[in-house]
Amino acid sequence: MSSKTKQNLADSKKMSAELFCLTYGAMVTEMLKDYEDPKDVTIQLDKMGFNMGSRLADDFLAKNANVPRCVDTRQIADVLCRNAIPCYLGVNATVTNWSNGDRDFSIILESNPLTELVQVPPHLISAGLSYSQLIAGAIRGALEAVHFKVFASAVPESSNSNTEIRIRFDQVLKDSIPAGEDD
Amino acid sequence: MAKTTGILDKSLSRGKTEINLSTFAVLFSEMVLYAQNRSETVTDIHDRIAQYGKQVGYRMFDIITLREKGYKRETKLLGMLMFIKSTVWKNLFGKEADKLERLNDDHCTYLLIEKDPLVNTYISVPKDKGVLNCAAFAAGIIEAILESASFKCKVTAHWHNETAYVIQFEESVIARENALLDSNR
Amino acid sequence: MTIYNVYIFDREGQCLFYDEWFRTKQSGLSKIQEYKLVFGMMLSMKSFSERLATADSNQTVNFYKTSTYKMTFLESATGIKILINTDPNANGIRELLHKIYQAWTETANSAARLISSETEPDESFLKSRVKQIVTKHPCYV
Repeated sequence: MSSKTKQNLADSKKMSAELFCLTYGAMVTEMLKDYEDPKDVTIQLDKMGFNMGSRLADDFLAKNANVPRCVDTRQIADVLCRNAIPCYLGVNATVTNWSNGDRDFSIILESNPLTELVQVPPHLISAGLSYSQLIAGAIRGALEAVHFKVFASAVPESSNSNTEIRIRFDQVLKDSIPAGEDD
Repeated sequence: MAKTTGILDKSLSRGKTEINLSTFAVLFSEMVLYAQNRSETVTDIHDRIAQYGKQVGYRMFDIITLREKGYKRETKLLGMLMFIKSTVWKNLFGKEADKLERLNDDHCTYLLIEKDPLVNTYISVPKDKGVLNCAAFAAGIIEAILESASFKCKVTAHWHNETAYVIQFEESVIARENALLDSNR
Repeated sequence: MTIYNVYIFDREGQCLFYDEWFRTKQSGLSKIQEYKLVFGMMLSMKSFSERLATADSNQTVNFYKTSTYKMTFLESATGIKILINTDPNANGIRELLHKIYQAWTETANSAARLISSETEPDESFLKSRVKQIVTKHPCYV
C-alpha cells in the first residue's frame, strides 16, 4: 500500500509551494478589501474550497484505482490522512478526537501549506476570518462528490499549534434519479 | 504569559517544498472565477488578476532577495532583468524564462519570452484565453518585483504561440540607467 | 475482436461524451433518446439487481452480454458512469474503462481548462485522447 501511494505521489506534477501559499495570501488579501466583514470572506473561502474539493475528487479517484470504496467514517478518515491530504497538500495528517459514536473527528495537519509564509493578524481572526477554511471546504466538497455529506470547519488557529479541521458526518447521499425515471 | 511563537521566530524556509500542481490549478481557477464575478469586462478581469499577481510579486521579491542575494540589491537594469529571467523564474516556476530581448525601435521596452508557461507544461490543450489569465498574473508579479527594486514600469502579457511579457519602463528609469552607465565609464 | 462505442454520463444522467468506431448498425433512435434509454437501462439493472442480491453489500453491476456484444459498466465513486460496447469475448475492458475515466478527468480538470475557467470540456481533445486509448487496446482491430 505505502509504496503504491508513494508512486502515485511521484506521478503527479509538482510546483512551488511558496507560489501556492503567496497566491492564496494575495487572494485573501484582495477579498478582505472587497468584503466588509471578515466572516463573509470565511464563507467565500469555504465555497471555493468546496468547488476545489469536488474537482479533485475525480482527479484522486482516477489516479488511485486501488483505494477501496469507503463505507464508514473510519475509512474516510484513513483515506484522507493517508492518501488524499499528502497527495494534494503535500503534508502529513493524523486523525484524532473521535466522538459522537464515530460521527465526529478531527484531522490534524502536521504543517499547513496555506500559512507557511503567512501570519494572520489576531484582530482578523477575532473578527471571524478563518484563514484555513479553504481546506475544510475542500474536504467537504470532495466527500460530497463521493456521496458523504459532512460539515467541516477549521478550528480557529492559535499561532503555536497545528491546523485542526473538525469534521462531522451528516448522511450518505443517494444519487438522484432523472425526472421521469421511476425506480 | 507564555510566549507564542510567530512566523518571525521561524527561519525562512529554503523554498524547496512543493505542492501538487492540480491543487494550484483548482485554486487558480477559483481565483479567476472570483475575479470574473466581481468584474464587468475582460479588461477588468485581467486587471484584477494582475493585481493578485502584484501582491505575490512584492512578497516574493522580499523572500528571494533575502534568500538568494543576501540583501544585495541589483541596481543595474539589465542585471535586474536577468535576475527575473533566471532566479525569480526558477523560484516561481522551476525553470528559467526562455528569452530576454529589447525592442529595436524603443529603448524603453523589453520583452521576456516564455515558450511554455507553467500551465502549458502540464496541459495539452493550450487555449489563448487560459494562457492569458495566467500570463496576466505573472505580468503582475514581474511588475511588482521591478517596482520594488525602483524600476518603474508597466508590464503587459501577450500571446502568440509563446507568451511575451512586454516590459515598458518609464523614461526616467532609462535616463537614470544611462547616467549610471556613463558615470562608470 | 472489436470495440464498438462508448458513452460517458455524469451523475444526473447527462451524456457528457459519446463516440463510436465499428458500429455498423444504429439503434434507429435519435441520439438523445438512445442516451436516455442506455442510462435508464443501467439504472434499472443496478437497482433491480440490488433488490435481488443475496446479501446486503455494496455490489456493482459489471457487464451484460448477448450473443453478439458485451456492454461493460464502470461507475466511479463520484457517480461518473462509463459504458462501452465490445465483442462478447473481449477482455481487459475494465482496465480500458479506467483509462478512459482518467482521460476524462484529465480533460475536465486539466490545468488549462481550470485556469481559463472554461465550463465546457474540450470535446475534440477528449475525443482524440479516447480514440488513442481505444485503438491501442488489443481488442481493437
